[in-house]
Amino acid sequence: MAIEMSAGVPETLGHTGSLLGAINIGKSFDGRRTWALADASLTVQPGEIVCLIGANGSGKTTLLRCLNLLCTPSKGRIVFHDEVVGDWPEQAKIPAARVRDVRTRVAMVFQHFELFPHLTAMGNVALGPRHVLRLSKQDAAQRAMDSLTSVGLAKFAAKRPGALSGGQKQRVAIARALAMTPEIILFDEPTSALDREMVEEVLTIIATLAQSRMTMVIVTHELAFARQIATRVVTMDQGRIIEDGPADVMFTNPQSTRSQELLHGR
Amino acid sequence: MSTGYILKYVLQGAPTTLEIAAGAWVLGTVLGLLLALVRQPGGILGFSAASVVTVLRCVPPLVLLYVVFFGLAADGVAIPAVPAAAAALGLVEASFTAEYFRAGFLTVQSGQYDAAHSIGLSRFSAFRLVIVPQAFIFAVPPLLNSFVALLKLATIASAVGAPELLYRGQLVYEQSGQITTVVVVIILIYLLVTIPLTKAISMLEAKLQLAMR
Repeated sequence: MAIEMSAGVPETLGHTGSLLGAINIGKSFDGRRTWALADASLTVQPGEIVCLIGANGSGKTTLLRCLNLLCTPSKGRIVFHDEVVGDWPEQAKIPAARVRDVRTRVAMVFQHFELFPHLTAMGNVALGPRHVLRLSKQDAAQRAMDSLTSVGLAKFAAKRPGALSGGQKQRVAIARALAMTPEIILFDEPTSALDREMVEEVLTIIATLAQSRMTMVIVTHELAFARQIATRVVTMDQGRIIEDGPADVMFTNPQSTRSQELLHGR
Repeated sequence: MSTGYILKYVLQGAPTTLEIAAGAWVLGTVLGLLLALVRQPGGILGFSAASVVTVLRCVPPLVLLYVVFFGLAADGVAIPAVPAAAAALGLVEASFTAEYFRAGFLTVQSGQYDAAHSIGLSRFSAFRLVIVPQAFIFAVPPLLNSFVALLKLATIASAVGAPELLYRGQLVYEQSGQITTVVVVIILIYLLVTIPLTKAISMLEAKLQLAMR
């Protein structure tokens, strides 16, 4: 059944076997006058494909950025493999090495690709394996080529981002994430910046990842796609999670009015 | 005195002009990058770097040259005219290149920092591998243009007797009294060097903009 979220959220995950989690996460950008994210709790189990759905400004991206520590929460906890990574506001500073460790295992794909324009596609994808995972130059290049092959872009390895289409850029961005062999990939509206024709090529890649049981959290407005691949759907509005449940239940029988509006347009 | 002789005489100052401009450019680029990097994190170091840049930009280049050449000599540190000119102009250049690099850093979108950090790069590595290269590419056109400016600014070295183009021109004028010929020769030499250089820099700038889309 779908769970309508109110105040009842777990204080701690205990030994839940979850991969990644946010507990009572809140984020304010103006000294706690307003909250971009308010008391959001989300846990992700291995193999789950969680689609975050909500209107613009509902806090989806902020939640995603908190999950991989690109954004420091104002309150709450981030948990990775049941271990507390950060607990705000008490523990304001997390050791940099711990942050980097989490980020190498929690990959992120951005709405606007964010490829490094001074590097080729190969250079973009090999950067992490070479300088973070400390692979040799040859091994990093091989891993990069394998990643580019997996997204169908092996022959574009020598091209710079400026010479690629939007769909190709996003596929390179996915390859860059895959090259780090992450345990979970966060997608922040991966197709929003693409023309309609290019959306399909990116969704195909994500669907392939879903079939291979990659754990993913996807912020998306593509409801048909979410219906196709999501195992779980979370709806958000005004910085809060309003409903969270299995995809089949959420798409057929969402409990809250707002979820109905978001998922069915009524 | 024939025009050909005057041209040949003045041209002998060209290597010195190039030496001063090149030395100043290298010093200015390295020092400017350091200042821009130190300024980035802010705080006391950032404030100090910003202050150094402000002072260097506000002091006239000729005054700086006198400080380096005459001032240090008075303290027992005698620097020959050409290195002194390169050093003084290098300090001036550093104040401008620091701003070029700072503008370059500002041009790099915040999403690039996010993407670099998201793959686990440390702050230093993200800067070294992602941010600085992009800032550098952005700074290349103004850096190259500043080399053209240094070629012209090298003329102040004549004030301390460095045998560059203008100094050689002054000497041959004293011998010949043909001021118009001397001035025209100097101008022509500068035009023949700076116009193609400026054109080449514009073409490079267009190529860089295309590559960095």
